[in-house]
This record gives sequence, C-alpha cells and structure tokens, in this order.
Amino acid sequence: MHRKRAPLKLVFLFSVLFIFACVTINIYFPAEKVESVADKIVHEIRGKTPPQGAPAKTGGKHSGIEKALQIFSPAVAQAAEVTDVSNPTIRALKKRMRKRYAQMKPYYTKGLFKEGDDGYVALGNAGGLNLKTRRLLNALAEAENKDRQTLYSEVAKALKISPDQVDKVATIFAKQWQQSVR
Amino acid sequence: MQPTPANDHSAVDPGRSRRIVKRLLLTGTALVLFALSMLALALIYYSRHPQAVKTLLEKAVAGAIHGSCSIDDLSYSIRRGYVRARGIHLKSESENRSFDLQAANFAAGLALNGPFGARRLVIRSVSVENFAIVLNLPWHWPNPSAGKATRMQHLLTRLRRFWLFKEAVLSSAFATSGSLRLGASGWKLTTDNLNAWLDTKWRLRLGGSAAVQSAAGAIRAVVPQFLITTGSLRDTGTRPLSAQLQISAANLHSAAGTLETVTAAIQLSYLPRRRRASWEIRRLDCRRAAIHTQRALSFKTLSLQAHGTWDAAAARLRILRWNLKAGTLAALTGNAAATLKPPGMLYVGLQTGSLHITNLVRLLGPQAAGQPPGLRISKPMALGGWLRLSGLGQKQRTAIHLTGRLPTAQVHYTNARRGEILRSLLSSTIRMDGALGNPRISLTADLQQAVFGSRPHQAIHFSAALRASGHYPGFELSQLTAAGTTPALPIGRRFLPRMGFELSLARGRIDVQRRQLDLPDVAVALDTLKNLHLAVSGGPAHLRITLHGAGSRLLHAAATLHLLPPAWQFKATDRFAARAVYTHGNWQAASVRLNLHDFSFASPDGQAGAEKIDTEITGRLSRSPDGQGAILRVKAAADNGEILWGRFYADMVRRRPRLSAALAYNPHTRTVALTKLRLSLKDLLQVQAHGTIAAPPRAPELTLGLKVPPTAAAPLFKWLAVDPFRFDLPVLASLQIGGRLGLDLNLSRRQRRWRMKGRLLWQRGRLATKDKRVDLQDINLDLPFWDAGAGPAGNNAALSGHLRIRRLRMPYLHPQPLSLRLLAAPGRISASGFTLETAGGKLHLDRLTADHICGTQPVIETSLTIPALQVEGLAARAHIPAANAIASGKLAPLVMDFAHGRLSGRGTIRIAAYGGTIKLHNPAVVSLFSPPPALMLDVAFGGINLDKLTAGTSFGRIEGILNGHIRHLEIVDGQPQRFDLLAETVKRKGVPQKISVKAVENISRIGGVPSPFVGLAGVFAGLLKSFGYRKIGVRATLKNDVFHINGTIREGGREYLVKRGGLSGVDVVNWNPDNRISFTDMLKRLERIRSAYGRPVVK
Repeated sequence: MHRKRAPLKLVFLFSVLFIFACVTINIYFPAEKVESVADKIVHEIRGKTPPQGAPAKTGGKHSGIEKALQIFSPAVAQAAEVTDVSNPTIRALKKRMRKRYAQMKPYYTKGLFKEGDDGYVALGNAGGLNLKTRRLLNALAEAENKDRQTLYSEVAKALKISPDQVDKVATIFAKQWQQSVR
Repeated sequence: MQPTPANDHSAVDPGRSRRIVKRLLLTGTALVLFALSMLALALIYYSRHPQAVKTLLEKAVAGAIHGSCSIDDLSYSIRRGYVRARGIHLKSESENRSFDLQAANFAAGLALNGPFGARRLVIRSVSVENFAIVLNLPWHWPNPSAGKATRMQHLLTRLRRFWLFKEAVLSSAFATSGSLRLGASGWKLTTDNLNAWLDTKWRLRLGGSAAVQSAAGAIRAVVPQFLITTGSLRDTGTRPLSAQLQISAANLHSAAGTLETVTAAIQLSYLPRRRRASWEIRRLDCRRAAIHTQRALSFKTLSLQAHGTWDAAAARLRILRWNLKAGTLAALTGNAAATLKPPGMLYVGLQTGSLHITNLVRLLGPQAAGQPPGLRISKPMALGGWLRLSGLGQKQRTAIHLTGRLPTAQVHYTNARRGEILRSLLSSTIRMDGALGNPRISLTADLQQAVFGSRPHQAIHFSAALRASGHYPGFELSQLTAAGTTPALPIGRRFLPRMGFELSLARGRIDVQRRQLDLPDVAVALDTLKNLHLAVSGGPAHLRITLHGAGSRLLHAAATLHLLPPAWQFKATDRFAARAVYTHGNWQAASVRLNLHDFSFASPDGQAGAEKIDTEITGRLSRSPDGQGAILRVKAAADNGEILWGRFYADMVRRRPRLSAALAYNPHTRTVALTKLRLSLKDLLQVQAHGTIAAPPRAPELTLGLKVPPTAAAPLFKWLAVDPFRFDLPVLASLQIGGRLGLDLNLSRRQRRWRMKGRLLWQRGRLATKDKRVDLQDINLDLPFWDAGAGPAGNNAALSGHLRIRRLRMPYLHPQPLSLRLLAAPGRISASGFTLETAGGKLHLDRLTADHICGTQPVIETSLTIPALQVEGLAARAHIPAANAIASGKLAPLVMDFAHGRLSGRGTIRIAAYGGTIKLHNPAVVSLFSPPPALMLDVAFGGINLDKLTAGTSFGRIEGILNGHIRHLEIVDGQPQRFDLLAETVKRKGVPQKISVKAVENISRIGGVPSPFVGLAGVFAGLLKSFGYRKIGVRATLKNDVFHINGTIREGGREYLVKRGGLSGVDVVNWNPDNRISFTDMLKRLERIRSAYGRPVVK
C-alpha cells in the first residue's frame, strides 16, 4: 500500500510544481494613470478643467531653521511633478476638440450624439433630423473620432503603452467622455 | 218443273251424242298422242341437239336479264347425266347499271330421281371455273315473279314438271378462280381468287381476296384473304341462317386513319322469317392503327369485340356490348343502338373506359419512337358517358355526355435535355355535354405537391387548380390559382431565398384553335410582394403582357431577396407598370415605369440615407432597326426629398437630378453601346457619357467616355470638398474658389486592365484664402492624366497640358506669375521645373513627377534647390534674429507621399548665420492630412558665435563659439514636441569666453539649478557685468512635454552647466542629475525671464 501511495504523492507534487512553475506574463497596463490622464484631458476639452498651476506640495515637514535658510537660499526652481501627459500634438488636438465641442454640445444635450463604450462618439437617435443636419453630425463625429484616435495613440505613446493596447486607452477614455455629457 | 230447251236437245239423240263423243275422244287422243309424240320427238331432238337448246337458252336468259347471253359451247346428256358449257357470257346493261358475267367452264352432273311425273332433277357437282362478274349497282337480280307468267309458260312448266322433272335440286357445287367487280355509288369492290364450295348440305364456303375503294380513293381497303362459311342454306325461310366471316391481314387506308394487318372473325345468325339477325364480332384485331390528325397518331394494337342484333324489319341495330382496346392507350366498354329507318337514331353508350393519358400524349407528342414518354401519369383516366344521334338529314340532332375522371395520380414530365422537370399529384375531371358537333367542355385540374424544375435549388414547389369550360375552341377560365414557393434563383455567386407566391385568376378566356389567350387580371402575390396584377392577351403572333402594381412593396421584396445591402432600411410607396409585346416568337417591345413616392433609405451606420424622394424611372425596350438587337431607353428623375451619401448631400428640390440614357445591344458582337447618357444636377453639374460594354469570353470589356462641360467651380468645390470635409480640414472653409471646372475622361477596360485617360480643366480660376495671404488669380489649368493600369502603356504619345497662374501670391513669396508645362504619361504626370521668388532670393523646384496618380498611393517627387536665400526675413517672422543669414542647399528628392500624408526631403540646407553654420538635415512634414502636422528634421550647428546670437536678447550676453546638434527635432503647432539637444562651447583663438550675470542667472533658471548669485555672491556679482568661463555644455532632451537638462561637464563628481575658467568666473552646477522640467514649468520659467527683463527671451 505504501508503495502505491508514493507515486501519487509524486504526481501531486509534480502537478503543483508544474502549475506554479507556469510563467504568467502580465503586460503592465497603467490603467489608473490612463484614467487620470483621461480625466484631465476630457475635462480640459469639455471645459471643466481642474485647477492647474496649483503649487505642488513639497511634502515633508521643514524646521524653522530650514525655513529661515530658505529665505536666504537661492530660489530653487521646483520641478513640477511630471504627471501630465501632454505634448504639442495633444495640445493641438485638445484645442481642436475643444473648439469642436462647442459645435457639438447642443446636439449632446438633445441626445443626438452619444458616447460609446469604445471611446468614440456615435450618432444617437437621429431619426427626426433632416439629412443635412445628419450630414453635419456625421462630419462632426467623424472628425471628432479621427482626432480621438490620434489622441489615444499619442497618450499611449506618451505612457509607453503598446500600440496594440490603444483600444484599452480608448475604453478608459470612454468613461470620461460619458461622464462629461451626463 | 218445266224442261229447258237444252234438256230437250240432249234428249233428242243420245246415240248420236255418244258417237260424237267417241269421235271427239279419238280425235283428242290422237292429237294428244301426236302432241306427245312431237314432244317426245322434240325432246329427243333437243336432247340430241344441244345447240338448239343453247340457242333457246341464250334467248331465254337474255330475255330474263334484259340483256344478252352467249354460250360458246353447250353439251349435256340426260342419259349420262351431265351438262357442260364453255364460254358463258351474260351481259345486261342499262343507263346506270350493268351486269356482266363470264364463265370459262361450267359443268354439272345431272340425275333424275323419283317416279315419272314427280321426278326431281338433281344437279350435283356443279363446277364453275374462271368466272368473272362485273356489277354496277344499283342492279337488281331479275325477279321471275315480278312479271305475270304467260299460258305458254305455264304449259311448258307443267310439261317440264310432268315429263322432265318436278323440281331441280342443287346438290353440291364449287366455283374456282373467280372474280367479282362490283361498283355502286362510286365505290368499287373487287374480289379475286374467289373460290366457293357448296357442299351437299348446302353449307357454303366462300373465300378469296377483296379490295374496296371509295369513289375518290379516300378510303381503300385491301383484304388479302377472307372466308365466309355458312350453315346450311336450305330451308332458309324457316331455319336461321348462320354465317361466319373471317378476314386476315386486311388493311384499311383512309384520310382519317389507317388500320393495318386486320384479322377478324364475325359470326352472323339470321332468321329470315323474322328478319332478325344476331351477330358477334368475336375478334377484330389490328396490329397497327393510326389516326390521321394534324399529327399522325399510331398505336400498335387495336382490338374490338362486340355482339348484338339486327332487326331488318325495323332496321334496328343493337350492340349489346362492345369492347374496344386500343393498345395501351385505351380500353372502352359500352353498348350501342341504331335505327336506320327514318328518322333514324344512333346511340353509343360508354359504360366503362380507361384512357392512359401517358400514351395519348406520347401519341400526340413529338417524341420519336423508342424515346421515353415526356409526360407520365401513373393512372388512367376513367371514362363514361354516351353519344346520341337522332334524326337524319337536316333535322339531325346530336347529344353527347362524356365524363373523364382522373383520380389522384403521380405525374412526371421529363425533358430530354434537362431530365425530369415536373412531378406532381394530379387529379382532373373533364366533361363534355351538349351537341356532338360543339359540346360544352368543362375541365377541372388540381395539382398538388408539384415540383417544377430539374435542379433542386431552382425548383418551384407549388399547387394549382384550374377550372375551365366552354365550347371548342373557346373556353372560359373561371378559376386559375397557384400557390407555392419560388426557386432559389442564382444571382452571381449566391442564390435568392425562396419565397411563397400566389396566383389567382378570376376570369379569362382561351381560344385553342386561334391560340389566343386573354387573361385580363391575374392577381400575383409573393411573401414580400403584394398587389401585383398580370394581364396577358393575344397569341403567338402578337402577345401582350402587362404587369402593374401599386403599393407592392418592391423595396421590401428586394431587401428580402438580398438585392439590397443588408441591414439597410428602405421605404417607399411604389407604383409600377410593365408592358411587353411578343410577336412571332420574338420580344418586340417592352416598357416599364416605376414611381417611388416618399422613397427613403438609411444605412445602418447613418452614413447614407435618403428621405421623401419622389422619383420616376421609365424604361423602354425596343428592337433595333435591323431587328436583331435591342435598344433600351431609360429616364429617371427625382423632384423632392434629399439624399445623403457619406459626406455628400444633395437637396433634390434644389438639384432636380435628371438622368437619361440609351443602351443598344448588338447580339452579334455581344456589345452594349451606351449613348446619350445625360446626368444633370441643377446649378451644379452636368455629366455626359457614351461608351461600349462588350462581353468577351472571359471578362467584360468596357470603353466609356465621360464629359463634364465647364461648370462653375465654386458650387462644385463647395459641394464636393467644403461641405463634406470642412470639419476635417477647416482650411477648406476659408478657401475661395472661382472659375469653371470641366472634365473629359476616357475610361476603358481591356484584358482585365483598367485604363483612364483624360483632362481636368480649370478655366479663369481663382484660389484664395479669406485673408488673401494665399491668392492664386486667373488660374488656367489643363491637367492631363493617364492611367494604364498595371500593364504596359503602349506607344502612345504623352498628353500635354499646362498650368498658368497670372498672379501667385503666397506667404514669403513675391507676387508673381507661374507657368508650368504638364505632361501625362501612363501612371504619371510631370510638370516642368519652375522658380519662385521670395523676399530673400529664389527657390527652384525641379521637374515634378506625380506617380500612381490614380492609385491608392500617389506620390509627387521633385527637388528643391536654394541657391542663396536671405533668411533674415523668414527668421524674423519666427522671431529669430538671423541677420545676414544665407541659406543654400538642395533637397533631392523632395517627395510628397499622399498615402501617408508626408512631405519629405533628402538633403541638407546650410544656413550661414551667427558666424557659423546651421545644417538642416532631411526635413519632413508628417500628418499633413490628419492635423496637426509635424515638422521633423535634424539640425547640426557649428562655429556659432554666441555673441552674435545673444546680442540684443533678454537672455543675457554670452561670448564664445558654440557647436552642437539637435536631433529628432519635431515641431508641432509651432511648439517643439521632441528633440535631443547637445550644445557645447569650444575655444577659438581670438574669441573670448565670457558670460554675463544675467545669462548665468537665466541658464540657472532654465536649467533649474541654484543661482550662484545668492547671498553675498549676489552682492559681489552685482559689481561685475560678466565672468569668464571655460566651457558651457548643455544636453537637453524633450519628450512628452518633459525636459531633461543636464550639464555635459563633469568634474569632481559634479555636473556643470557652466564651468569657470581659472580662479575667476562662475560655475553653474546641476545638483540634480535627474533634472526634469515639465513643459509648462519651462514656459513659466521663460515667462519669468521675459517678465523680469521686459523683453522676450527669444525674439
């Protein structure tokens, strides 16, 4: 009997080892970072920009001597915490999208545009619209989506996210877009 | 009582009276004896002299037949008991009748039996050889009793009966090698090889051959052999006469039909006293029978059996039962009766009958012998009914009642080429009532579970019912319904889905003789198609077919049949009418008119749609003048509504689109010629086209000429470019377009290759931005283009064109004219080189070539040469001081890649500025069509005199020589997006290395390092204006809006941005090796520098 149990134990142990030995490769995706960036960008575009230029918290406690020395010490330029994802392309895109949003906003309120879960804007219930207006909405949506696609790519590039995960970035942005029009 | 005088005379002399009586008796006796003696002598004489009897006989017979009689030789012997004659010829002839009998030999045995006075002449073994009888009727045998016998005849008869024989009795006879020619009413009966035997019991056997021919020969019967046998012919007055006729191998030919190889056995029993006969056709078989109608019908065997009676007194024929079998075609049983006496009557009853329609159709059909039948019906049709004819002559009345019932049977129809194309269950009834000549015929037919079609996926499954009645040839259709599913017809590589359909005909008429059809209204409905009405009228010579409908849901049907894009929504109220004329087997003309009211459609993504369009499409198909081809003329118009197709929108009320075209099909060349195509959009565009589509064996070939007459460019540009793409390229909205645009295009497809050749014209054109910074005036463009597909282009000469701009005004350029010569070769457009004059000099663009112009990746290639260009003016616009800077160089090639939106140049532009050289390597602009565009280039600089560079700026003065580079420089929207900068000063003899306090402070600010001038150092520094330095070295990178700034000088474990020289001077130390500054911070620092000194950091 004992002789028979020994192989079973070996098999069990081998299986456990095999299972835990399986290498799980997780590609890191900075979802929280993307979410933060998306929140900021969307708010900048949609006109609800969070306070900018707020002094960065220095963190830590300084003694009174240190504070006094600071008066006489040279003005150390404090580098702002580099958490923003931005570059001229993104800024140009934001500028264009902010300008376009002014044109799109009335249609958002009428439900003619809807923010999809894929991070892109789509036409809502446009049944009662004439085709000329629908063409306008289509053109606006296409231009917007084209810019969003570039925006997501730029954000992904800035955050060193693989290009094949741009769709994930778009999905995270989608929540922000959706919140912005509620 | 008183005695009379006579009594007195007899009483006078009785003796005398006796004597007288005796004398008289003696005299009488003598006379009698004399007479008898004479008679005996005469008999002896005549018995010894047959010639004398022959003469008497000839005279007697001639007198009897009212003709002539001649006997060549006559001999007889009473004693020896025979009579012989040769060369007998009897002839009787009148106006319309004749009789001629010839017999070569006649012989008979004679014997007298019985006592004298009651003897009987027995004629035995009568033989007649080689006789011929010719009769032309009406002819009557001489009737001895017709005339009144004379006393002499009575006397002779009595003498003959006393002396010779009381009666003559025929014992037996035979006749051989005879013939009979009988003619009556134009009919001729000819019998040959007649042989007859009459035995001692008077049973007759008559055989021979016969032929019957009608007057005009329409009916001809040949009986090679017949045999008539009778029972005893004795005592026919009291005993029934029986006879049997046997015929073999007879043939009957007539215009109506043919019977071949007929054998028959007919039994007759006749009772002369009652003048009634019973008969029986025991067997009448025909190996081949044919009925001659429009198409010959023949069946192999025909047999008839019948029996009945004949009442001669009443002239009534009764067929108690007849049974006719026509091979495998039909088996009929019935009875019949006929009365030949006026007024006459004929009745034929059909009690049971079965008709195999399969075989009937095979007889009627075109199949050759041996081929399988096209139509097969598993069961025969049951027949029943009767036929009655009453009254003869003009008052004849006929009636027929015939019913045929086909029980539910399997039906198969097979086509020799396509195999079985129909299978179904069929039940049918046909009735004929009324006068025989024109009875009323009623037909019902029901098809169930019918499948029509040889291929399963293309078969029609249906059931149908037909009700028709009328008098031949016209029939009224009271009901014609059909319901089923349509086949899955192929369209391209896919199949249409099956659909249910219903056909319903309320009334109609068909004339089978004239082959005319009139179906005024056949309601047609499909699962998805309603309210269709079909009308058919005419015949093969001229057939008209009309199909019309209103609210038929054509679009719904088309969508169901997958003829429209899936998931698209279409809606319209339709009305259409189609007409076609079919004459003598050919379509002659057809027309169709389709009206769609409130026509709307929408794509699932909302990118395309139309709403409330009222459109009318008409088409007319007619034969070409030579009668071989066809011409289709099409017109289409839309008046209301609007349409959106992607980015393109048209208001139908405003544009009123009209289309007309003519298509001519030539079956010999298998080509379709497109002529007179006109498409117009009001106040916008007109298109004219013509061309040919050929159908070669493998792939269609096409030539198409397309022309857009010169039309105003502004609305066209607005419609085609501005309105659709203004949000993608806002600059389009700011463009002002003028002039007239036109197009002349020839498109062809040969051997699977497309070719395109043409010209785009822009006359008196203008292109300008709103601010007029760009303004091209009086543009005259003749742009040729030529695309020859992937194959060789051929040897055709290039097309030439031009671009002339009277006044070209652009930023950095002097207003100037421009003239280019354009050449188009297959797949390529080239333009001659030209020179642009700027404020600082000239730019020369070499020959431009545009390749793959009609493909997906067009590319324009040229080269830019800058001989010597003063860039101060250009730099000043960018707030860069560049006094006396001169640029020169060449970018070759300079490529515009439309597919990737990239303008790139390979080469270097050298700028001599600030005492040194700045080299711009491989500049490129990317994302041209998906803004924002980015300028990318590499920059190398060397020998830059910092004193010249910083002089006049708020940055502070620096003296020295600077070398370095900027790699991967990207500028977007006027801002640097990325770069990798390395700048270091180098010593040069005679060039001091000094840096002002302000510059040191600004370097510190920008670099984010502590200023060396804080505290006491600042106090001392205020006494000095500048310091010497040994080296300034900065490495800066920008990526994702983050600057990394480091010093390049590392000494003593420290990193210096500025390293002093010797004991004096100033060091700028970077204490933070990971010195990162965000872009916004950098802007703030620059802003602080600007605000601190009131001047821009960089002009």
